[in-house]
Amino acid sequence: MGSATTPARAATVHDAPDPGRPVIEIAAARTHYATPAGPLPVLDGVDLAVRPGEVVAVVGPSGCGKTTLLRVLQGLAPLDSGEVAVHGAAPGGAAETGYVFQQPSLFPWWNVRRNIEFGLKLRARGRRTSAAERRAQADRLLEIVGLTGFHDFRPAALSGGMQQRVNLARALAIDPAVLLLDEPFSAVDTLTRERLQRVLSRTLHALGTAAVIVTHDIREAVFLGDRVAVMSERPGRIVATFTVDHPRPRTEDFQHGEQLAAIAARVYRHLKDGDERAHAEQAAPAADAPHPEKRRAR
Amino acid sequence: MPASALTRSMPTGRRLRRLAVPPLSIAAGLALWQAAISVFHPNKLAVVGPWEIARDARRLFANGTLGADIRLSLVQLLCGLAIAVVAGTAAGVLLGASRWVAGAVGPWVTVLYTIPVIAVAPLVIVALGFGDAAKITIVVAAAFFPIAISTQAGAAAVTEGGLRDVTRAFRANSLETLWYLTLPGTAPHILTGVRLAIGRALIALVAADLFGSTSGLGYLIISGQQNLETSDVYVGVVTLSVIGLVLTGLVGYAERRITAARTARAGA
Repeated sequence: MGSATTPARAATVHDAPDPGRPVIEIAAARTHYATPAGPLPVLDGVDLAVRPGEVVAVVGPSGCGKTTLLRVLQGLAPLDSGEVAVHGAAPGGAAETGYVFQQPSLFPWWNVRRNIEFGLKLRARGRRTSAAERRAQADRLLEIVGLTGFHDFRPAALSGGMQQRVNLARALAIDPAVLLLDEPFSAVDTLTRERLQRVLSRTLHALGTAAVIVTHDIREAVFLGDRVAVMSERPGRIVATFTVDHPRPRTEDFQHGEQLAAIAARVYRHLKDGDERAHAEQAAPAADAPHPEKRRAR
Repeated sequence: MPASALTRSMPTGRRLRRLAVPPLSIAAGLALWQAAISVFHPNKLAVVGPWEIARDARRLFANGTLGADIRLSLVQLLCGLAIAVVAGTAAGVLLGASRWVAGAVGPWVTVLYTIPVIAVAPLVIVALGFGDAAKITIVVAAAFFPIAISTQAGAAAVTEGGLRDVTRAFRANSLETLWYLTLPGTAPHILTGVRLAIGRALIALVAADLFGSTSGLGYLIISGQQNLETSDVYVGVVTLSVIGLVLTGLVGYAERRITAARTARAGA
């Protein structure tokens, strides 16, 4: 993977034992779905490495195996061949992964704080926490995602965007080695989605957490990712990687700027052509690049 | 401020009016009943009026028999219900959580559910005698199935829903999943099952008393029939109704509270 180094970022990675080593390493990963008609290959030789604190966005056509990739990283889907390691160990083991679902999926019988504390309460994990610690951690994350004062609310009393922030806080409360996000903002309206993208960018930057974000929204991928990995049609492979050379946390200016639009256009063209010419291509601002979608008024 | 006082008192007034309707309806029914008795003078062996029932209830209460009957029946009923809640919840969770268990045990539940308790009550009494054990067993048999079936539906919905993915993503083990997801998620369904079970349990209790007993509300009804003390029958029936009404009301209240807290859009 020949992408250049990402822009200098504050080294806030706190739980990486070896800062030089990738938090995620996938090599030649192959897996399949079992279908009545026989095995259907889903991932066909996926290679990906995510460095500590790095954010990688994965885009690709529907059904290309993006969600399967996340399930592999969680240890929920086995590989037929190839290798996968989170923090140097098999996924599903000691290293924690946080997972953010498309739907907020909060427990309706708990208030916001207890929802965020959920991961810390499960006693199966190595570090036990006291009630006071859990509460402090929940309040810290509520502040980071901008929901201070809402700790007593039940999920039903929150808007969809606020629920998704709680969902994010819940996944981050366990201090995961890496955060996995599956189409996290596809169920909310455009303005909320953009606001949540900024919240996520700020939060990942503040905590120094590495993340893999699966999305079909190219602009979202470019806005959030240090790199954007393009997957092919099923069986999925990563056919190109674009580096997004812009410091994080990213702001509204970048969200609606020329640079994002230009990179998004290149990703779009690549996805559309479906060829492999842009493998490991460096994305540089290209003024003449047409915007893939309708240009948004600023 | 008068305006805000007005808006605040409006819903309160409406709530009071809504609360007043059921007791008023019952009072009106009783008055009609008493009036019909005084106009038509029906056969006293078949129909007695509320006034006479109340007088008989006072007499039975004063000589201590009604209190003892209520106590015994309540103990048997609540013991049986408690066992049925535990067993029915456990069975319902298992049935709902595992397709395999549902496939293997589900047909048995359906078959056993359709057996009228009154048909097998004599067999239970033959097996366990005339004491509390037989009565409680019969109550359990009646109350178990509505709870198990309702819990199964709830547990299946919870374990197949999106929240199961969350517990999986957080690597909760099966006990943690049961405690943090399945039981709280199924709680409203368990309560619905209990609410439906109360009526069946009361019928089963009276049926059990039919086949041999020396005390209890069922015994009061049976002995009233045999001794042509029709008002005793009515006292027993009314007391059972009140017990059913109160228990059902309490469970229904808990059910509504839980659901309201989970779905309330406004406020905390």
